[in-house]
Amino acid sequence: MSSASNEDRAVDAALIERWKGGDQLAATMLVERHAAALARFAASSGVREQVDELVQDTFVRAFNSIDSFRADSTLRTWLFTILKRLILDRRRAEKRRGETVELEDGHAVQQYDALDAMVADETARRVRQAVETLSPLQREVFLLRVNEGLAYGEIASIVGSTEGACRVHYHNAMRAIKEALGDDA
Amino acid sequence: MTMRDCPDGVMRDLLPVYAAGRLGAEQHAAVEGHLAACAECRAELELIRAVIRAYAVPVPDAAVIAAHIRPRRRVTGSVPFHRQPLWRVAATATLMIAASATYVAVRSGGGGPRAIPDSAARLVAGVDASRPDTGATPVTAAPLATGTSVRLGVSLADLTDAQLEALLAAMEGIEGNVLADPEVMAKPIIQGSDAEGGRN
Repeated sequence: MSSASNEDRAVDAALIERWKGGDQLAATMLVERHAAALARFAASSGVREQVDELVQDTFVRAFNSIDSFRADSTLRTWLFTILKRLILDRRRAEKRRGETVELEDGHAVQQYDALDAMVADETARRVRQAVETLSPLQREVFLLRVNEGLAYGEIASIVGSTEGACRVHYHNAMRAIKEALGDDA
Repeated sequence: MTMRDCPDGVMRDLLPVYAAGRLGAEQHAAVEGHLAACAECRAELELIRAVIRAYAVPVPDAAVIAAHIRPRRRVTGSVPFHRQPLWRVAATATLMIAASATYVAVRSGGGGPRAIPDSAARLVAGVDASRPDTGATPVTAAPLATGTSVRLGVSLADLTDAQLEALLAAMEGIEGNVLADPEVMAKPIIQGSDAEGGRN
């Protein structure tokens, strides 16, 4: 584990203790530290609407059950795990209501139409298209590694796989994206 | 044209962590040194940064989210037992010992005679409890063996004629105060009632 990661753990642990001691400002600081990463993860998982609400629900749940948080994972990994469950719950609920948002490989590019408005850069559009050619698991591993710089072990606990498998997924994904962008050029 | 891969797999593996600024100082310096000499890794790092830009999203308002987090409720008495003041630990221990001693004393009959209510005493003696108090004196019961239930005796209706006569004769012999001697009550007044009393 990198020293930066150890430092992150120490800072998070100290803020959690401060919040437990009644310092509500510590909660705000914890949100500031992790909200952007959670929003990125939600968006890259295909969430198009109410990303902020989903991130908020993640924090509310996390703080309500903070005593169950164990130091064998980082706070960010734990938050990702909670967010992922919320995303799956929301998808199931939408599916029951007939608002299916199943993330199929072929439909993935359409899932990010809303993001197109935010990213005008042509290069970014091409990169996203290349990423969408990946399988859902490959994409999830790849984006967690690239966007957040998470260790393979952390990624494995979020996606429910092994460290070795995540490493292989990442490198295969990188190769596929290079090929897609090379073919596109 | 397809981008080529750097043969140094370790360095390539570190690139996304480097881009996220999560490497320790030593590894960070090593990657920077490698990047200065490796065009493939510079290209891959640029691709990684392009992915990060492509998936950039507006950062949620931390203050709004934090406003929905309920403040931690302080739980009174949540101080671990071993960290509580000594006097509190001592008082708790004393109470527990006293409670245990009382329980043991009650369960074992206290090792001595025990006063029982008049009505119960009369039943032990085979007297109808519904009759008005005739000024009978306190009666003591024999100590009970641990784990046995209190047996108050049999109903008068269950007694045979011979047993009733024996009972009346015995009662005539009782004068005023019944001795508070467990030995007295240990001996059944009605001989044979224990074995036959409940049967029809």
